Formats: sequence, structure tokens, C-alpha cells
Amino acid sequence: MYVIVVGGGKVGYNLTRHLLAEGREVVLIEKNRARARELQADLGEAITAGDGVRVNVMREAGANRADVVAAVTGDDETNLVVCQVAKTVFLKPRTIARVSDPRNESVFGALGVDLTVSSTRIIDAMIEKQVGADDLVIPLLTLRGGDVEIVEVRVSDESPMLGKPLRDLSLPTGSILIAVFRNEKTMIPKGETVLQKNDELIALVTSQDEAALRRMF
Amino acid sequence: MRIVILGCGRLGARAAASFLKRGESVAIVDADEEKFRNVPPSPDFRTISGDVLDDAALEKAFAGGADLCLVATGRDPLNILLAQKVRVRFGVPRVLLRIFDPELAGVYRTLGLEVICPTLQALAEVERLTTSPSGSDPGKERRGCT
Repeated sequence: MYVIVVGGGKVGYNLTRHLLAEGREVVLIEKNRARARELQADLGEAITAGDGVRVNVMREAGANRADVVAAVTGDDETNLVVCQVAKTVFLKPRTIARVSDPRNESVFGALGVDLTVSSTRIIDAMIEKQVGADDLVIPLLTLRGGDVEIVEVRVSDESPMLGKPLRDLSLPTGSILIAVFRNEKTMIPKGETVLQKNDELIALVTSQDEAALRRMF
Repeated sequence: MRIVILGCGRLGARAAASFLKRGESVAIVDADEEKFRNVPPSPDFRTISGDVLDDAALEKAFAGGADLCLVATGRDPLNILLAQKVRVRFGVPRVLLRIFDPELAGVYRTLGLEVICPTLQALAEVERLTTSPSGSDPGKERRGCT
């Protein structure tokens, strides 16, 4: 698998290092020549100086055989253009854009970017939800631009779910339990599984039903 | 026609003046209020001082609907983002945008955007001036300059 990373800030640098450590073929494109030289000591041939917005720079970096293009500069519009050019000019790699302004996420999705990552929104969601939920529901992963989430739920002492088999509980329509952690063990929940105090649950839930799920624990 | 212009720079301000002269109504967005002074005052001219990346500013500009939008900030990637956002979010039927980089201009033309590329136009002019027999006419050199 060949990965092109655009933007050699902290995110791009660490991502590239991580991919190299995993033995992947990767090249990092950094616009600022001084920064590129600085990173060269560590990344060697995996770094190239150039502006990823320019079609020629991407072509020279081998965008035509890239499986993944990850645009992670601090500039949303640059990340969008890098992804769109990759999809239009080159052989349709999978594109990932870092998004700083969460309001751009849905726009980017509509414009053909495969995956957007917004640390602003993830951190914001964690703060908002943890404060509101007494630490009982923790968002782990957001999918599809926020439509679906994987959350961790802790069963409280006075939860109405205790002592009953799951088949007798009516979870919100847009949710399903996918794992139960109990005493260091992982169980896949079935209809006959009975929840106990201090169980930790992993659930898949739509954004509409998240509040309803939270009310059950 | 209701026209929204994003960016009141050299192109944006002149385009605004030109549209107003033709009797169109124009709303323009720029973070720098000083730049609005480059457009002659008119009752059909609305200015919104704010960042073009700020949704509130855009919503104000497109509040009454728009038939045409010209995206003319100084940065290619920003123009590209804005043009598509305006099309998707506000459903503007016609969006013109400026892209300096000829290669990017080509890419976004194939994606169906109405792109104005000053570099390619200047190139065409250079070619015209250096190949046509009237190219040596000194009076013509001033044409188009401001």
C-alpha cells in the first residue's frame, strides 16, 4: 500500500512516522522548505518539499499509484483541493481530509472526500457528552460525519437494566450492544445475557437515539 | 439580477462597480471594510464585513437569494472551497470563480465549475501581442491596464 501524506505539521509528521514504523510505503509532502529539511533528518527519503495543491508536485510524488492520500495541513481549503485533485486527476485513491472547522465536514463529504477527521468536533463531543452524562456514556468513534457513534457505557448502581436478560429490555431502535466487558473478560451480548453492576458496554448508536440510550443507564 | 461577490479585492471591487452600472443589485463580503470604499456608493449595493469563512457572513450575503455568485478572494484553494460550498449550501444557480493556477483551473473546469483563469488569459494576450502584425501598435499596449 502506498500512502501520500500532505502537510508536515505535527499531525502529518507523526502520521508519517507511524506509517513508516508499520512498514508502509509513504511519502510526506511539505510546502515549507525549511520545515522539510528539518524533518529530513528523521524521515530521510520519505519527505519531499513541495506544495501538495500543485498537480505536478502530486504527480511527481507518485499520486498515480497511491492507494491513500491523506491531506492533513492546518488549512481546510488546501486539504479539500488536495483530495479533489487526487480523485479527479489521479487513479482515484482513497482520500482523507483533516478538517479544523467542523462546519466544513458535511460540505467535504458532499464534495467527494471519502473520510474527514475533525479533532475539534471529537474533543468538543467528548467534553459536551461527559459533562452531560456523569461519565456514563463516552464516545469512542464517530462514523459517517457524526450520524453513527460507537460509545462506551458504564452500567450504574441504580440502572433499570440490572438483573434482566437483554431480550426483556427495549433498547432504542437506533442502537445495538456489541460487547460487554466484565471482570477483564469480553462477552458478546446475546438475548439471555444479564447485565451486572460495573459492566462496561460498547454500543453502536445513531445520533438521534444517543440521548435515549443514555437515559437507560 | 441579484449578485453576491466574495472578496472585495482588485477583481471583486471592479466587478461590483460594473454590475451596479448595469443596474444589478450586488452584495459583497470582505473582512476588510476599507476595501468597500473602492466601489462607488449605490442604493443597490450591500456590504457585509466579515470573514468569508464565517457562515454568519455568508448567510447574510445570501439571505435574499442570489442568481449569481462571483468568488474572487486572493487564494485559489479558498475560492475553490467557497464556490462549491455556495453551490451546495445556498443552491446558487451560477457560480464563477477565479483560479490563478492553470492546472487547478483545468481540474475544476472538468468538475463543472465556471472558472476564470487570469494566468491563461494573460498568456493568450501575450501570444496575441507577439504574433499578430498589429502587436507593435504602441496605442494598444495601454488597453486593459488600470
